[in-house]
Amino acid sequence: MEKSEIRKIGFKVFRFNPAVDASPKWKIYELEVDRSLTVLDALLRIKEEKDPSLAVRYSCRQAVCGSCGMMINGKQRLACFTRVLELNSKVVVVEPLNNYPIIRDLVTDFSDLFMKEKMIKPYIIRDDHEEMRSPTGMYLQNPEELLEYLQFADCIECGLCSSACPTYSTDNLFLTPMILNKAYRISADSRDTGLQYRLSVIDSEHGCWRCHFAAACSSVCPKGIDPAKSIQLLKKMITSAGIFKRMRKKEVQVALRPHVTGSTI
Amino acid sequence: MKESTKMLLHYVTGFLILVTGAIHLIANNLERFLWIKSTLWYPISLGIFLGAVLYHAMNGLRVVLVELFPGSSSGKVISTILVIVGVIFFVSGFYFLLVLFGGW
Repeated sequence: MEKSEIRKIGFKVFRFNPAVDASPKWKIYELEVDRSLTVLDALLRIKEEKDPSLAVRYSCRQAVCGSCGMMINGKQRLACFTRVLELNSKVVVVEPLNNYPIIRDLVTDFSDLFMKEKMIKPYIIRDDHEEMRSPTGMYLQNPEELLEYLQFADCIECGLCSSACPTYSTDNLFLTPMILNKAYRISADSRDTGLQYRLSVIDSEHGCWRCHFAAACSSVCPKGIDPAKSIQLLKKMITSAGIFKRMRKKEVQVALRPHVTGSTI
Repeated sequence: MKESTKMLLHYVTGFLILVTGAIHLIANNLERFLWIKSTLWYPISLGIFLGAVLYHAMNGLRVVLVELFPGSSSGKVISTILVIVGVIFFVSGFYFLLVLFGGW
């Protein structure tokens, strides 16, 4: 059986408590790591054994919640999804994500993103209010229609893409790749007819047109989504809607399900 | 004007710059095509070139400034200033075209 590799690695961690500290500082912790240890495991071990004051946000530990995004060796990554020894460095530098205000240490403030997400109405909007109020069945969607947006629906809203975005680093009003990706995912859904209600936000001075296709967002996405592509597709959708007035999709069939009763009110 | 309309015009004027710029270069440098300069289309293409370059440049500058100085009021100020500058340059440029080709 292969002997597990164990090495001593230094973790240079950004520390800053705005309530107490005048300026940020770096603290170095040394740990013995094996090949299975992730950066999140290492940070939690630091918290347990060396410095309980370290602030870290995490939840699922398996790259589905998006909570543990941080800068690891200068790149936006999920700490739970990054194995220490795969970084191939004697010192691992860990900092909070770029472009967001710092709450404390490695924890950043996402309230700007959540506010922008509300602005784009990230839910299916339909005109058939009666069916929405008192559903009789479910809206049908074929595999081709699903594939139009499926890739972009995998987003776990970790914020790594917006952290990497060079536009967002200078323009704090920019909607950001994460939000624009969500806007495209909802608008491209065949069941949605609400693009017109989102246009005032998406087709604005700080909307999708401020994307210059640097594609830094796509290069850091841990889920393999291509937000840069979804933004360009969103531009195409808006232009089509503007020039060819192609806003309404074909009517979506409702598959009647007699056992579906009740009201949404 | 919607942002999508402004950016669509940006792409269209980019294309127009390529085409009319090429006509200008060819008509002034290749002997076989010097005759273009004596046609009416040449000053017309120069007029289109002038308008396209000014729109493309001013809108490009607007995009840069709006990102560097985000804010709804700063956006309006930037746009207004650039429209005024663009119109001034267009009127001056058009006047020179009329002097050169229209015998003013």
